[in-house]
Amino acid sequence: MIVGGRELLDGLVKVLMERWTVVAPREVEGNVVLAPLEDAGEIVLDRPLNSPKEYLLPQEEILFEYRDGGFKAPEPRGYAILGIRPCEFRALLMLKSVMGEDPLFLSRWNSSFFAVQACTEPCPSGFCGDLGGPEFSGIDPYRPLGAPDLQYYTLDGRVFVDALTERGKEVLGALRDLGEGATEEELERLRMRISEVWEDMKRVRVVGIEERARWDHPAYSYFAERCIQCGACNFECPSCFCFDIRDEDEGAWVRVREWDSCLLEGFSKMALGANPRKREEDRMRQRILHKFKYFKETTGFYMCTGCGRCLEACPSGIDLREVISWLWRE
Amino acid sequence: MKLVRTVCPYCGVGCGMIVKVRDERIISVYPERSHPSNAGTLCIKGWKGVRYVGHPDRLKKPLIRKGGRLVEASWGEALRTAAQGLGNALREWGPESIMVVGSAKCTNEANFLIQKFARAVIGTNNVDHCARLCHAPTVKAMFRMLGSGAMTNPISDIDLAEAYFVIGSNTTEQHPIIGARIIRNLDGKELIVADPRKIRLARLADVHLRHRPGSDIPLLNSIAHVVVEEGLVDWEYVGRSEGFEKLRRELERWDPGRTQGITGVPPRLVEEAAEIVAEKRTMFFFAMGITQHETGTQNVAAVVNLAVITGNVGKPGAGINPLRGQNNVQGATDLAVVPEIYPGYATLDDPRIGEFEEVWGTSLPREMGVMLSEAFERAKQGEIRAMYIMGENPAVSDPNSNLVRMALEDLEFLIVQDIFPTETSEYADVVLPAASWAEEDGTITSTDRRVQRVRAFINPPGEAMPDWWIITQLARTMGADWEYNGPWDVLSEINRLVPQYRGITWERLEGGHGIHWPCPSVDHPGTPRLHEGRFVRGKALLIPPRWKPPSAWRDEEYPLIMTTGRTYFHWHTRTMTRRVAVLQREVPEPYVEVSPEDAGTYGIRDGSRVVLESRHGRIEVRARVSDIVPRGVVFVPFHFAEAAANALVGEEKDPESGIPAYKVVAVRIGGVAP
Amino acid sequence: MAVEGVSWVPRLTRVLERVQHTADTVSLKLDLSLNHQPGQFVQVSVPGVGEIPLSVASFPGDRLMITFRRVGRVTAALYGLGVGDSIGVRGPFGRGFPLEGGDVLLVAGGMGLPPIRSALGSILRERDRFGTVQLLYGARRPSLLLYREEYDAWRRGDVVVSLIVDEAEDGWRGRVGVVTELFDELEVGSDATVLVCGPEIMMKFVGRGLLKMGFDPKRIYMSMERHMKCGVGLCGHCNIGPYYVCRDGPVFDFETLRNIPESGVI
Ligand SMILES: Cc1cc2nc3c(=O)[nH]c(=O)nc-3n(C[C@H](O)[C@H](O)[C@H](O)COP(=O)(O)OP(=O)(O)OC[C@H]3O[C@@H](n4cnc5c(N)ncnc54)[C@H](O)[C@@H]3O)c2cc1C
Ligand code: SF4
Ligand code: SF4
Ligand code: FES
Repeated sequence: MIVGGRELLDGLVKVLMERWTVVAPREVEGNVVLAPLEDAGEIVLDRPLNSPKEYLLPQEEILFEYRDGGFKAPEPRGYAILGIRPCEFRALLMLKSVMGEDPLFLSRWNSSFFAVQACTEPCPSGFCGDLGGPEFSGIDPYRPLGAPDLQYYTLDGRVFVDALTERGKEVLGALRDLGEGATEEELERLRMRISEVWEDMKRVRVVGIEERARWDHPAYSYFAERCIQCGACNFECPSCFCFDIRDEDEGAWVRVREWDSCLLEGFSKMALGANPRKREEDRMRQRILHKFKYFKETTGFYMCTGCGRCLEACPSGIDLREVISWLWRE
Repeated sequence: MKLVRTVCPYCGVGCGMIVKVRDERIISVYPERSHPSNAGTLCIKGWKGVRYVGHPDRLKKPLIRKGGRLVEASWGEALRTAAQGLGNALREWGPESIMVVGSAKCTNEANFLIQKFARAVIGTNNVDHCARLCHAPTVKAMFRMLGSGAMTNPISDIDLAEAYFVIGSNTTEQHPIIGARIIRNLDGKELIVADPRKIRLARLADVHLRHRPGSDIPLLNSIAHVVVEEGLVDWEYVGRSEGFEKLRRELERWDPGRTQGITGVPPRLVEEAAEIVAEKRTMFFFAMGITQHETGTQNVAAVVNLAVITGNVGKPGAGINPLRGQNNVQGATDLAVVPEIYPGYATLDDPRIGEFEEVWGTSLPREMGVMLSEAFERAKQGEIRAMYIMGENPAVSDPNSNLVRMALEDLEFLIVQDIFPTETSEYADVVLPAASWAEEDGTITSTDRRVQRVRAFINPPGEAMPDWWIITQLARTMGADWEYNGPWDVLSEINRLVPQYRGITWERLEGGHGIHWPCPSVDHPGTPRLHEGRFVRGKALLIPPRWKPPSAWRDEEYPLIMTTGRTYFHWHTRTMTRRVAVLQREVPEPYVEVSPEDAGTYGIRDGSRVVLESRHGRIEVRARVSDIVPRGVVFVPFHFAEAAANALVGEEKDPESGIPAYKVVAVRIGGVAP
Repeated sequence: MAVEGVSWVPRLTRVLERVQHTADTVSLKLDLSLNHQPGQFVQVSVPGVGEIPLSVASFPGDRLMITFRRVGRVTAALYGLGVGDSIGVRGPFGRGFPLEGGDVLLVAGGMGLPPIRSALGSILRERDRFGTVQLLYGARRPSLLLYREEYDAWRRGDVVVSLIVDEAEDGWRGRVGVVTELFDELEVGSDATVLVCGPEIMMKFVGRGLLKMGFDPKRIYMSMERHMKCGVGLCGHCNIGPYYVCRDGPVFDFETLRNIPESGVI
């Protein structure tokens, strides 16, 4: 681990820019957006309004084009993604456990570099307490599935950068001149801060919830009644992977996929109108059970890592923490 | 790669969004966190709907009719042909033979120019847009009673209210982010919904007043009756208004026990509603559900009365909020794309018109022009000979669409300016390809009077051009000496001529989230809330609303009431939304909502094909059996050309505002197939 | 997890033959041989229009045949194709019907016959591996019965073919009713393997009826239908309970389905 000032962070971006398009939180007229940087100095420390999912599974992308008698399939390149939070990185691991077979996803994943920003401030909407907590540690429950290349912390105006993979060490090596080793005292303060934040994030318990998520729980219809079907909770969720596929015909045959939402009626509707999830509450149930029960049963992990993005994006204020608490209560 | 901050092109909520663009394609859409109206959220149309801009069907070249067919032409030729066509009509039949139609989808700048084109280049007040079909009654009634026809509160005031009174607005479908913002506030607050349909907000309401279609005035008056009788009147506000005594006398006869016979609403619910609005800081919301009636203007008056006597105007979290449909219907109205006023609500006898004459360097018409709702009838009678339609599709959206199509057929000359070919452009002599929302800089005015910048971030396809440019060129081709180098020049003319917009300059709109009009000077912060401390009119005017039962009421022959409206997933005539895969998937075809009781009576099953007939037309649609509609009422969305609900609507109109009575049409089931 | 080595690019092939079965149902035979397991499906593309799942109706190793009804956008476009037109194919995907020998009961309703036809093809090729083989097939009307010209060949191959229709038409001398009424003609034993494909409501009653007659729910196999997009376990559309119909199905045993409230067959 090396410690330095803001130059260390800028230096990191510069080093990565030599090999990647760097995606990091940056300011867009009063908003913080996770987006490609043009300049190293643009990176900010605030949590961006969008999740990193689109840099592995874009909102919309071309699967193939057929023109002049031949197919052309894209071979997209990944990004160096900075400033995503541990919860989001874990969610990307969940995404990979499903999408890992997808050629476009895989091509991006294999050529991506991840630098996670550990949370040294509690976040207002997250609940990662049970799901790994505010840093991606060596004993992280998700460690067997992968690790970010780097992790950085910020505390009292100082930046702490740590490498978790070989590739990360290489990059860190190039930054030696911009920082120094961390003192025992600094590390201790950092550990304290992380454990405080962690305590704070434990207010919502998740482990064991699969036992409580009954098929006929009243929570589904209660929340479904309030859902306006905007799809945002799915779109903003870094682990939701569902997509729709459509064809375009612009002189050439183009097949496109785009993010989809299981809360929409058409998601499961079949020709002539038959729909196994016709009612809104059936779809709300699907969203909850898929995340907290089915996925857990088949992979051992929840398909939710407590980042809180869904509740931030929900116009109706549907709060997943509230849903979970209700499942516990009844 | 570009990140551009702009505003959603769909509804009047005016949600801020950031789009990420690469290679002329929208890569991502993000809800803007810092925007006060949507605060990091969007509805599905915002998330998904904007991708229509890249659709291959876009109009890319001007078209002119040659030998009965529309063929590609150069801009020069198209403009010349258009100018000639209008010029001929002008010479042969005079300015009153030409109708100009603006669009609530287009920018303030485009709309300002189109009305200027009608008035200054053609010399007629025959200019209108679809607000006629939505909120003309609102403007009429609220302007008269309060001095301003617009929403009194900013959207963010929803968080400050203690109660909500929603009437005639399916808010979560039509203004989704406003509807959802009400929902997220419901804990500990009260919601009253007056709607015949059990819409989402009604299902969440503390009080659902399920009144019969067309009985809004009896319902609202009975609530006001209770307010007066129970001594719940806000005397301070009565003191700030005039006409209370007359209103009080009128209200005497509307006691809830008696009105129940008309409305079907139990008095207990009326009393509950009265107590809530009298005691809580209440925001009133309404939309087409009360305006699209023969008594539309009076309906609005009844809402205003109730809000004023309960002191619910001009306060944080209390006010009267007509929800405007299209993203810029507010702006198109402010800038007078209507025949009865000049920009900034200058009436036809207002001396301010002299100022317009001075600036525009020509004398201007002062006679009331033709309203959109009469235009097609007039066209059929040969009074209107030519039309210039920008960004609207009356062949589907207008009432009595059969008549509209015949009228379009009869026109001597028709110019259609749009982004896609439409049912209307099929009749055109000249089709002018316009830039879309994504390709045109300008400003729009959202429903809460928030004037905001929209930004061009891709190039128009082919030879399509921004609306302001097209109108300017056409005016110049017709001999006008218009000089605009960009929409900013148009806005500065608006700043000069429209008092409400005086301080809302191009430079000021660059950053931030827009400015609420009225904004009288460049150092004025704008006015998020109207009537604070004092009504714009001085004293509010209370008007005893006159009620008459709808003339298209059901009878033995036509025993059902059809009401029409929008659905969440589509927009108007779907020129945009049917080209968005996910939106089209959700509602791929027209339907009619039928109550389970009526379904039983007629042997209709969910998914049956049903023939629906009125005195004016018939359509065939699939049935959705649903308890959203009450027995005796059916609902049909108006988006679909293949089953245009508006073909069933007759000629009944609100005499005061000209709005067609879309909300109450007597129909019958003319046949059912499984 | 998902199918290994997913590719989005279909194989392009051509229509060799088009057979009109009813007013809205046709079969297309394609210039492509598939080694599939009966019950599996292919993702069929109409270029520029879209891609949909269709059961393989042909016999393993034969030229690929699909049979479909015109019900929506893509099927309408497919319906409009003629001999020589190009068409895209991905697959075969999913798990098909197990064909391990013994008595086999095949139950099909309406458009559920194509995959059952494919299974029959496999059985007929190795007919002596199986005991009694019986097909129960129901359709709305006699004229909607698919593959009518093939029944004789199936019968000659020692398959009991029992038919029933909801509504009789002129000349129909067979039975009228729902498919479960054919249970009174059963010739297979209750230890038979059962392969079922048809509308959910039909499968529900078939499952119920067979359980009552002592059939083993683990040996009743039903082919499920769900909205599908990718066909390879990625897009999430076909999810039921912890399964993906495209990858873990479309064929599931009844025991599994009975534990999924959403399966629609309980
Ligand atoms: C495993 C499997 C095998 C099938 N085999 C056959 C067959 O052999 N013959 C046949 O006629 N039909 C079969 N179907 C049904 C067939 O896939 C649908 O009729 C078809 O997808 C409808 O597409 P559409 O575009 O015409 O309809 P639209 O209503 O326009 O549907 C739009 C899209 O929704 C999805 N979708 C809609 N309905 C279905 C559905 N029922 N199943 C899956 N996806 C759907 C598709 O992605 C489709 O492109 C099968 C379905 C599955 C799941
Ligand atoms: S974000 Fe909220 S309103 Fe939108 S789909 Fe999700 S739960 Fe529904
Ligand atoms: S609420 Fe209106 S402005 Fe906001 S995203 Fe939806 S359609 Fe667009
Ligand atoms: S069809 Fe995509 S997961 Fe099954």
